[in-house]
Amino acid sequence: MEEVTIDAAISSLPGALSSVTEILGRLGVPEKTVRELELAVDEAVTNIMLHGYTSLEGLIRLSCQRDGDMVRIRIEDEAPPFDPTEVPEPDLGGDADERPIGGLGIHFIRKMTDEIRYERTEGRNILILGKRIKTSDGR
Amino acid sequence: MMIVTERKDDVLIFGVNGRLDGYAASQVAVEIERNLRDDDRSVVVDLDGLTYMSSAGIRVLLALQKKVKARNGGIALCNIGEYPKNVLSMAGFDKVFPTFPSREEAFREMRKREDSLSLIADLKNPMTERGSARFGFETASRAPASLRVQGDHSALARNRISEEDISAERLSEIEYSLGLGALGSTVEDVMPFLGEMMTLRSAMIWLPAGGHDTPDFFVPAGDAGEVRAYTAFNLSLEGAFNEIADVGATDEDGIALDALYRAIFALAKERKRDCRGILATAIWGVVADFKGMGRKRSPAPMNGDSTPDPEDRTATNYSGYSIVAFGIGIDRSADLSGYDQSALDAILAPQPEGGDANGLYLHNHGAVFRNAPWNPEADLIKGIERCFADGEFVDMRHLLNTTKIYRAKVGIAYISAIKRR
Repeated sequence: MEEVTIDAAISSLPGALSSVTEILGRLGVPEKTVRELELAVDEAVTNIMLHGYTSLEGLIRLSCQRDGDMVRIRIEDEAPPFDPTEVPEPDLGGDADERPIGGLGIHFIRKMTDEIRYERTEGRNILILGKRIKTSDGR
Repeated sequence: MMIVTERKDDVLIFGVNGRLDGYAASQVAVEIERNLRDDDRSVVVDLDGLTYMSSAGIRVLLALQKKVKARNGGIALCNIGEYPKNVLSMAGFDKVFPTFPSREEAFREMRKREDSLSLIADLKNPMTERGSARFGFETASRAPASLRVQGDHSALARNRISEEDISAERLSEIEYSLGLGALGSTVEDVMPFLGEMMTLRSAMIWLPAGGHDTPDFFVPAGDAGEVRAYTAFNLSLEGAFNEIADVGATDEDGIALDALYRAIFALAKERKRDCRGILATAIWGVVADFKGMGRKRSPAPMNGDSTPDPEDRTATNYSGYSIVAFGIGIDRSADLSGYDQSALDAILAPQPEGGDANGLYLHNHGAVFRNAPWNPEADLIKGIERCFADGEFVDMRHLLNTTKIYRAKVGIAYISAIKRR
């Protein structure tokens, strides 16, 4: 398992995403799957940075693990409890430019992953994003 | 991520390439805020070379679209790559933003909108071009307007103001005015703070002297009858504006305040208006270059010292912000003998302040607001009130004649008399 710890400041997001994609590449995850997981991690981490921590102080730990054709990214933070799996699906239809935009991030996370688990342990939010590597993607 | 901003024929173009993640989106939002003028309504966002985008990118685009839609405008996206296209469609936003295959097509579409909007405006009001701006005039009040002067401008310049010179004006009685004053409970209280002030409609905006360089914007809630401003000098309009001019600069840098007054004087002569050499104006518009100043010290002697403060406070440049202003212009080449001479002398500051070699004397105060969208259809008073209600108040100063505006509605009162109080 490889991990990286970052400051919960929005400016550290690009670096965090490039670390994650690098690690996934080293784990032999195909490019397309890496790109999809990157979007899911971006949404989850941006949300913690902008809405989780109320001050600029805070850390986010990201770890990646591969079990056969399953790759999992674990995102941990110490912000107040927040379970993204309970966020309802956004309304994606209707008079689109007037509709509320909330919930788009979690919608992307759901679309980009095959498994989402949330737990609150010892004052930490733990979000695990899992994705199955399809054989058609190679490897 | 790279963002490149360009402006072409009233269309604002943002080129965003690279990766648009949550962090880059916050930078793009700042860049948009910095470049979007209050009168912008047509925006092209060129996503050529954008390889990655998250929901934060969609939020920025959506916020931009909402903002310009409220002004009857719109945005057009172009050169959308595979990745952002998928992200947009996953969110159901692919149909929300008009998209075009190339920047040229997006630009043409936005230009078409601009053309039809200005055609409507031209049909309503024929325009005359003069001194780097186009003017359309609408008649307002036919009643003669006059100016009321309180105090003496040259006493201010000499810092000779004492408590006896201060008068308490009910805000409810001065609709359009400018001068030097302060809000406070007693005359003694306000003496150290007398600074540039203006009243527009029911609001008072002033820049207190001394202390911090922080202007104050005040709209009395409910009954304004009892609120008083203490003024050392005040010029107020009695009567209404005779004409409303719709002004649009033809120079892309805008039209300077002195050029604007000069053009109004010249057009008044041509159109045979009853202009005797003095104008009062109220302006609501979009500023191209805000040049202003404020006094650092109150004009009252401090510890017996009346020497002028050589340093004034200058304003930073607010380009693309909304401006509201009130002021007067005097054409000193005109025959001014019909006006009360002592009243006229009380208005004029010692040279060079306000005056220039060509005989034009200006005294204008202006305030800037952010995010009070320009609406060419709205009238002057609605525009001013919209700035007060919806705009974010930014600054207020004595306007220098080099202040430039892009476009404005200008209320013009041809002053028939000046009265001294």
